[in-house]
Amino acid sequence: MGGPNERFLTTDWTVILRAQGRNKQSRREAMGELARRYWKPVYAYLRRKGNSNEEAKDLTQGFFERVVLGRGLVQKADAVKGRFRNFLLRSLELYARGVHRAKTAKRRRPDGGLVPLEGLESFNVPEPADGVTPEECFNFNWAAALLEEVVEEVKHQCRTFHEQVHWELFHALVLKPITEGSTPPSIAELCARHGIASTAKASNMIVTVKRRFRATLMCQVRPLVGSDAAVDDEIRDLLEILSRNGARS
Amino acid sequence: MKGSMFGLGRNQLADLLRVGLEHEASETDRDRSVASVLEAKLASTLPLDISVADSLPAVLGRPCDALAGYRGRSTADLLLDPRADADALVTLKDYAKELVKRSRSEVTTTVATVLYYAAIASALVLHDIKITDHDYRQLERSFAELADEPWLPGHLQALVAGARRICEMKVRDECPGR
Repeated sequence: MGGPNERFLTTDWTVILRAQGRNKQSRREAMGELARRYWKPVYAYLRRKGNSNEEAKDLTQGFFERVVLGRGLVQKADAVKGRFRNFLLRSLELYARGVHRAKTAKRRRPDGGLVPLEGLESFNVPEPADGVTPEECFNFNWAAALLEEVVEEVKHQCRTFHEQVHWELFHALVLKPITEGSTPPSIAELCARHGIASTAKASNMIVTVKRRFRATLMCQVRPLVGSDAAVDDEIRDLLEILSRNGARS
Repeated sequence: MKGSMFGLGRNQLADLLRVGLEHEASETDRDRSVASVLEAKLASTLPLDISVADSLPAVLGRPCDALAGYRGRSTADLLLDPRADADALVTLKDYAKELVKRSRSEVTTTVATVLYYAAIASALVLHDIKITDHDYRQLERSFAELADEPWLPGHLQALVAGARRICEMKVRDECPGR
């Protein structure tokens, strides 16, 4: 049985290091992992830059295949060790400028095949209202990708530890009201539904999942920012970006 | 759930991020400390912390011997693995007992006590073995107290709840009139 932190052992910077290795298969797998995690914000940025859906998909794959791996970006990344989000965004901006200079989608298709991106064909960035910059689009989707990883991981842990009821409580009282805007049921109602002895017990169960949510978020962000001290700063930075006046509110 | 985050608005994403920054009002600083130290202890890899083992001459050697087969795995893995060797759980229990005796902080004492009862619970639930001289009535009370602690992680809650049920049945078997 894998421990609760097992999945965190392979984190972004270690994936990058693996992507720098000489083993071709290992490099390709690491590349696929990086692309799986970050292609959506990259794609959203490129769409907002004015590229068509198809162009943005090609460019996204090209960015990971040619720029992140091919042009030694990962080697530079090792030296930077700063916030990975900002690093990737800066690299993307440079890439987009280059694309603007030579805009031929087909010629940008990388040699040797494309990195498979799960869900790329069906993924569509919600149309942002006017005034949202490509950088903001990137950051919105970065936050969404981060939260999706966290929620999936917390759900996975609850399942692994036979805490389905814990998850159900968290989902009904915390997650669903935020994501669907629904009115949460009362704790007493949930206790009756799940056969929980007391509301205090149910509250403790929710605290357990919230704590796990926080720990998971910390674990996901930590390797992206270089130090423990920078974790809260990175999350507050994302909150500030999301709180600025603009679209998709 | 997969994919659903990408349709959310900025306020919704911000609210979700804030869940990750919240500390529960009902959680005290002590609760948070216990939760944090316990999590680290459960995630620590076996054999047990050598620096601690070195200071425990009474059990020195045994941790490394009994737990050698679990090298690289976490304490949580050992507690939750039905194929684990019961001797390893005895070693973990003894280690925790020594840790309680030598502890100089309340948090460490609490965490060591959890490990102690978790090892006993694991042996009862997963191996059907009682590895302590405590009687079932005492154990039932201890497991009941432990199960209500807000900082106990869910996987240990399930283990402790299972051990408590077993103790209840054993007590009933021993005292049918109860």
